[in-house]
Parts: sequence; structure tokens; C-alpha cells
Amino acid sequence: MLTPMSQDDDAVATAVFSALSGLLGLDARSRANDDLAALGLDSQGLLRLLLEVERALGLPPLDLPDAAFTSPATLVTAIRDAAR
Amino acid sequence: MTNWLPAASADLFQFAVDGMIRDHGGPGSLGQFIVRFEHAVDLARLRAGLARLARRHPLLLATPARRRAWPGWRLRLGRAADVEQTASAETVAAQHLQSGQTGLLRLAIAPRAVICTFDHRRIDARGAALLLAALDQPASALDLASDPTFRELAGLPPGAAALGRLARTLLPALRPLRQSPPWRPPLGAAAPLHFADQILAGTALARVTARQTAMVGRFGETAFLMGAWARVLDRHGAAGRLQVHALAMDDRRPGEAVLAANRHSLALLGLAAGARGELASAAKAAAAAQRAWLSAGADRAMAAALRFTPFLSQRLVRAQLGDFHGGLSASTLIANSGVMRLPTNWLGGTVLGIDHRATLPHRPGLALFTSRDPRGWCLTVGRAGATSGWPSAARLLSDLLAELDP
Repeated sequence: MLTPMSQDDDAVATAVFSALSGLLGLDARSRANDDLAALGLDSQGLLRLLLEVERALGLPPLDLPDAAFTSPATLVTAIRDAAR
Repeated sequence: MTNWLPAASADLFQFAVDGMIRDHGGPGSLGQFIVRFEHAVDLARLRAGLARLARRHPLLLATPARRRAWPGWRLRLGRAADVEQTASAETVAAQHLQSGQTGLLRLAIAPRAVICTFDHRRIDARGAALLLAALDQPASALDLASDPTFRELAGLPPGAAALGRLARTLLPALRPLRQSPPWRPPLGAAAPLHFADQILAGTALARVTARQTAMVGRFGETAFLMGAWARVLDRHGAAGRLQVHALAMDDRRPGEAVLAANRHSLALLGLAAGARGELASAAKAAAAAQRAWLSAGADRAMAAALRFTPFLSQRLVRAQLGDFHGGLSASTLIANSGVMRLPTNWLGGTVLGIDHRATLPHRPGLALFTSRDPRGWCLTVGRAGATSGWPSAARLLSDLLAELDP
């Protein structure tokens, strides 16, 4: 079960919000609980996002559960879990 | 004000594709929207919108031309824009897609449709949607991309030497695709074109979405569709052969409001025969191929390579689309335009949705277009060539639907 992120900042959140903001042309942090598809993310965008986050954090290819792709917040939580 | 606008290096790929289509009997590289309405559209409002937009952006009425062999656009100041009236949207849409076009944009109006045919060298699907919206927005501040640098892929290094080094990194990404000749459909001419459309909605769409999500996740639409399409082609001669799909990659960012720019690149995605036994494995292979293309930086390497188009005698461009037996060949073209965003109320009518069309190079001569609009998930198969004995666009689409929703 993924939980929405708290207010604390970390490298994962910074990387995800920064990549999402650049990709979607909006402030992802202020829309952390919005639906990712409604924010404009599509399959091509998701791939670009994951590659950018993996590069930024030095992670191997991420294999995330589908529930991770609900909102920016759930994505941060899932990547944070995967990076542990 | 000069009346000559030379093509940027980013445009040369599009000019080369256009040339390929013309060389093989087609009308050049054109895209087309058929916007469907619930009721009749206000013709006077459409005419006024077009005239206003053309006054602000003379490029809209420019004609393609060459100056000392370099392609570009000649502005025709004072030329009037017009809208054709027709009783049959289907008839005029087919006519406009089969005849050469002199301007960037050609509009026709039918009782419950507007047909917009655009020069695909300069306008892509997202640009066309923005352009249509601007026709009914008097205060629109949209840009027609007079700045050629916009049409370059962001982040490319300046200078031929650095570009050349980047272009060479494309070869490792292409190597797996060159180990055996990919399958290609047995189609022999760029014209005539045939299209078949289907919209998935309601419970059928819910079933298909559930299958997609179970196999490749919520955002796996393109991979799921590619996997299904690959398996359809296996039934019609591709079994046991490598398939290479040229997938249009949208290099625009959300919110980019530039109309006259084609911001497509192509990813060449190989699907090995062994990966296509089950739909789930085919879809996963498609997703993996797309990831591999991007993670290898092949999109940037391809963009760098294509900057040398004039000096390669267009060989790379043609090889990318399968024009040379010895080169890299695509089996099909695939384009996912995503969610089409037009105002619900446009030109005084309620928009139901948009049907997509585009001309195709004779090789591969086969394409799958998809998008989403208020009607549902729109699927279109385009097939070029008059070759008999190979399945029609309607048959291929029917097989695809059976694969998606057995």
C-alpha cells in the first residue's frame, strides 16, 4: 500500500518533482496529489521520466507496481521504497 | 519583410519524407483531421477565423519552394484564404489526401464536419489541433514558429564535429535491428491510400484497458497496442521474422503552443519473432524496446544524424523508412497522438471527436494511428498501394480488435 508523501523533502522527491515539472511544464510539487494522467503524463512521458529519475539517482531500471503511477506523491513513495 | 523562409535543418527530414512519397506516386507528406460535430458548423465564423489567422501569420498561406536547391517556404502576401464547401466529408477528405497541396492548410466544411488537411512537413498533429483551436479564438497569441531553432531537438550540440560524434552513437542502437532483414508488407506504391477506423468505448474499452493494465500497466497503451499489432502482422506473413516498427515520438512539451512545427522524431523498435508468442510478452517486448531506444540516447543520436540529411543524399532518411533493401527497414509506422484537445464547443458546434489521416511512404506503406477523444479510443489503420492479395485496412483493423478484445 502506497502512502501519500509527507512534507519532508529528500533526494527522491526532488528528482521526481524536478523531472515531472520539466516534462509537464507545471509545478509538480504543488500538485503532488493530482492524477498523473490528468496532469498530462502519457506512456512516452513516463519512460522519459523514469529514465531521468534513474539517471539522477543512480538507480537501476525501476520496475514499479501500477499503483505507483497514480499521482506525483505515490510515485515518490514508490521510488523511495524501491531505492531502499 | 522577406518573402522567403528557408527550411531549418530540422525540417530537412520532413522534406525528404515528402520527396519519398511523391517519388512513388503519392501527393507528398500530408496530415488530415476530420473534425466531427453533433450539429452544423458556422461557416461564416470559420471563414472569418481563417482570414484573421492568415492576416496575422502569412506563413499559413506560404507555398513550398526551392531557392538554389535549398527547400523552404515562399510567402504569398495578399493571397486569400478560403474554405471549400462539400456535401460529403468522406469524399472531400479522400480527394484532399490524394491531390497535391500548395498551402500549409486546406479547409473544407461539410454538414457536420470540418476537414483540415495540413502540410505534414511543417505541421504535426498537436500543431494542427492548436491551429484549429486558434481559428475560433480571436485573441489567441499562438506562435507559428518563425524561429527555426524551436524545431530542433533540445540539447543537440552545436557544430558539425560534435554532431557527427553524437550521430555515430546511433550505430550501436541500430545494430540489433540489422542482424536480419525485417519483414515488410508486400505493398508497392504510395497511392492509393485506404483507411479503416474504429472507436473503442464503453464496456469494450473497459475490457481492453483492464487487459492492458494487467499486462503492461496503466501507461502501457502504446506498448500494448504495438504488441497486438505485431501479432496481427504475424498472421499475415510476418511470423518468424524480425519486425521493426517506426514509432513517432512526440518531442513537444505540454503547453507548447507552436502551430507550424513538426516535432516528430521516429524511434525504431525491433520486436523479435520469439517475443510475440503471447500478447503479454509482445507488449512487454515493445515496452522494453522503447525504453532501450531512449536509454541509449538513440533519439538524440538520430536527430544529430538527420541534421546531415542534405549531405547523405537522403539515404539515411529513406533507409529509416525502409526504402533500401540493404539499409534499415521499418515494417510499419505507428503514431499515438494521445488525447486530442479541442474545445468542446468550437465554431458554434459541439465537437464529437477527430478522425486522423496521413499520407504514407510506399515503404512500409502500412501505418497504425491512435488517439483519444470524447468518443473513446480511436484506432485507424492506413494502407497504401494497390497490391491485391494482401489484407485490406479493414481486415487488418478487424484482426487488431480481435487481438485487443478477444
